Amino acid sequence: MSVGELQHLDYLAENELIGMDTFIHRIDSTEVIYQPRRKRAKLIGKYLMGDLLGEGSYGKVKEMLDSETLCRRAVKILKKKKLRRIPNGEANVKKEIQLLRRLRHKNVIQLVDVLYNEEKQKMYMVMEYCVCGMQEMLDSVPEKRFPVFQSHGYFCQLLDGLEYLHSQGIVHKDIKPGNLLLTTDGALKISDLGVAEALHPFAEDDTCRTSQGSPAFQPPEIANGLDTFSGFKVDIWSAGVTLYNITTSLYPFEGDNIYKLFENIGKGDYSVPEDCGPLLSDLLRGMLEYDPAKRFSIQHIRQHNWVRKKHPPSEPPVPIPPSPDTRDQWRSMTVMPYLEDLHGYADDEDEDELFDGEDDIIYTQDFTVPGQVPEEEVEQNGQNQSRAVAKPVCVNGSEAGQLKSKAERRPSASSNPSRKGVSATSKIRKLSTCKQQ
Amino acid sequence: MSFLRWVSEKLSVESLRDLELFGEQAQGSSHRKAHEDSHESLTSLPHWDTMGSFLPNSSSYELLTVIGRGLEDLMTVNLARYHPMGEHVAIRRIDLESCTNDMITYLQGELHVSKLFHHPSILPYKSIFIAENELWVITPFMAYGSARDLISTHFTEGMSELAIACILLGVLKALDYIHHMGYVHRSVKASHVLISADGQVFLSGLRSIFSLIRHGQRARVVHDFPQYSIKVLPWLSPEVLQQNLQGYDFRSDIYSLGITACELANGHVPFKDMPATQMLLEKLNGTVPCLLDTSTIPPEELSLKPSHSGADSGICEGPGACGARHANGEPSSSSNNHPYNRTFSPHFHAFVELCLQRDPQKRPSASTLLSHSFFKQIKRRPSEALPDLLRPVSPISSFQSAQQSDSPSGLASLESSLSHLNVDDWDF
Repeated sequence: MSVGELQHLDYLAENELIGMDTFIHRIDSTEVIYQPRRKRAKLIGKYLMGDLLGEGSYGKVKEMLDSETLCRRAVKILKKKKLRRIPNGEANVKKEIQLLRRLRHKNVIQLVDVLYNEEKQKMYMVMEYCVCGMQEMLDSVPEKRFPVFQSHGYFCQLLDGLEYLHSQGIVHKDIKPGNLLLTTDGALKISDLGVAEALHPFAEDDTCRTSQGSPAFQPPEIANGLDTFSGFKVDIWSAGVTLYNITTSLYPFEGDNIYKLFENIGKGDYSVPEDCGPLLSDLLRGMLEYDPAKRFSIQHIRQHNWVRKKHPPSEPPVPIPPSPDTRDQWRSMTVMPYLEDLHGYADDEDEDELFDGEDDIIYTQDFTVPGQVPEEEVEQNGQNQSRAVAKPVCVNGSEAGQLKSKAERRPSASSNPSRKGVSATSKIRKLSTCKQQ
Repeated sequence: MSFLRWVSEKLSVESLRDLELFGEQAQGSSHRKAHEDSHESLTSLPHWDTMGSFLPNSSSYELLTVIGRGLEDLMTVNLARYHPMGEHVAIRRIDLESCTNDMITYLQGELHVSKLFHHPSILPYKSIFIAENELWVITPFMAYGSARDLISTHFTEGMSELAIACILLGVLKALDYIHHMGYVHRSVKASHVLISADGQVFLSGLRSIFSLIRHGQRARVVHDFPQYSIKVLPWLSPEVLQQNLQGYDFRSDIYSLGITACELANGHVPFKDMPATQMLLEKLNGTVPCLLDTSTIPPEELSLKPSHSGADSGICEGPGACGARHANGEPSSSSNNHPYNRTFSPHFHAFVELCLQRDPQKRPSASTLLSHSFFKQIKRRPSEALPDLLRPVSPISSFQSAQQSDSPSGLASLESSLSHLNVDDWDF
């Protein structure tokens, strides 16, 4: 939308806009929501979309399949408009991409590809596929904790990843079980570098000034609002809270609200449960040391006897739970129905119904959101969809591949009953954007 | 395939030049003669099997023609002559300065494993050294090339059952060894099966090999998805491809062996004309490839004039549909002589079915398969029988006698032998 257009639309009276709304055929939301969820193949570059894995404030995370290598992937879909509503949203994403691009370690999530769709104002961060998050595993059992030997295995991997990040001058600032993911072979991956900070290459030390991490994992120096603090020691503290949590199911500091919580953290009074044993208690106290200068360093932790000790598997490990939706114990690929659609294996009775399995419901909700991009315009008919497929510009080297897909061959949807309505609705949205401005 | 085409084009351009390089004598000697010559020259070599006999020194090797490229063009494969003995070897030269760290890691893994393995059915690396900025890997020259070369140049509708039995027996011996060493090969396919002038079968392609040993213990299953393996995908087992928590073990190699058996028998790998995604769908939905013959193709299709509509995918309908198998269109040939109008033994069919079972636990181990009735048909030593079975192909091992610029079959076998270290090994 050009600036000129905006200015021109400013002159339109409000009642004229409402008038336009009434003569345009809008889709009834019930019509859309109660459509059977048809799994339509959707290609982003060479990647085939699978099911939703999770949702964050920035957008969704979905499973993907690299149609050339057949490697399972995950993709973080970022919508520019959503990012704008999050404080530092766009800057954080930009930073995260810059950081992840230069990182390569078995315990740090790997960014595989970045695709950008200008038209839809969407960014796709293609990542290594992780089968489960640590928080999800904890939540799946009544004890809400891991056996000691399992915690120990994860903690050692966390140390490896953290040591690598610090060696690269990166402070993660948001270490917590929710940001620790697991691959099918049980490797831990530190993920979500959205609030991480890369120290200046010539910085003398790890002094940081800001932190946007999760409150319960923040150290006293941040809870007390100090102007500067050691970045690395923040990660040590958070890793300590994480270890505390995964071994005991508890948090060292709690509070009814963030103020109470920070007050408690700021005082620094906490206790370690008796049943942790002396070794683990000592390690936790070293990591949850109030004074950052006295707090353990990674080298210190590595030499700690609890870390060096071999912990025999006394009880069975907490397994990765079955998929939340399909109850599949193996957490198999979710792209199969989309593959069947791609290769024309599914029956084609509702060829005219061209809503994307992905976003059909979301669109109707988004209609009420001012300033939303008219993305359904491109996504709802085959012709445009193929254009959308060709569109993503690969930022990470490899050219966006084309695949002979059914989606592309699908005839343009002249018979799509909703199409006229949608494009008109998108006009409305443009207008309502202007109203806001 | 495009690589093979490239090689043959390159050969047709360069063949004359190449022939001049080492073809002074030798007009008129027969193929059989050439083979005998080679046999003598090879058996007379004293240190064929010992690593130390090949000096790690680039000046000891005279680079002859280029027989392959790969690794994103960072690797050149040369035929070469080893001066101290006058013997022909294949040399992979890799420009290390242009390699990414990942590639180096992969190469290191492969070279490490090659030092670890010592088995008569695994391609030995005779010498590995750095010459200036290049890594040189010296391997024996395999005069018959790969089994893939044999089927693409001569046996386009597949090899004879006995030849396949001899080849698969060698592969199984190698797999049995590899599995006992705690590794999964992960790229068993015809292009990784090399055949020497004296009919010995060698398994190569150690690049994507993976250890089952995790943290000092042999893991029940592993989950690693082989990287840089686009060309191997049609051979990979469903459990490797599905990348879920179930994981896979050495039995995934048995599945690949079954696919290789189909490849050798049908002349092409099953699923070859499909997009990778469709192949994945077929495998996970339980489609089982089979040998194409009178027991799997309905008689009416065999008597039909084969259409030109496309190559056969070599896939049966469904897992248990043995009676109602059909092929979707056959490769072109004359109408009365359908290439698949042949009958493989029930033992061969049973062998392939055992290997290609969807449930990995039901597949037999390599050592069990070695005593399968399919191999009972081998009456002579495989290495003695194989050269006869591969006729009219003759090995190119004595370059002084085998070069006949006016003989198309001579040129073809030169092609087949020169393209044996094909880039499938290195499809980064």
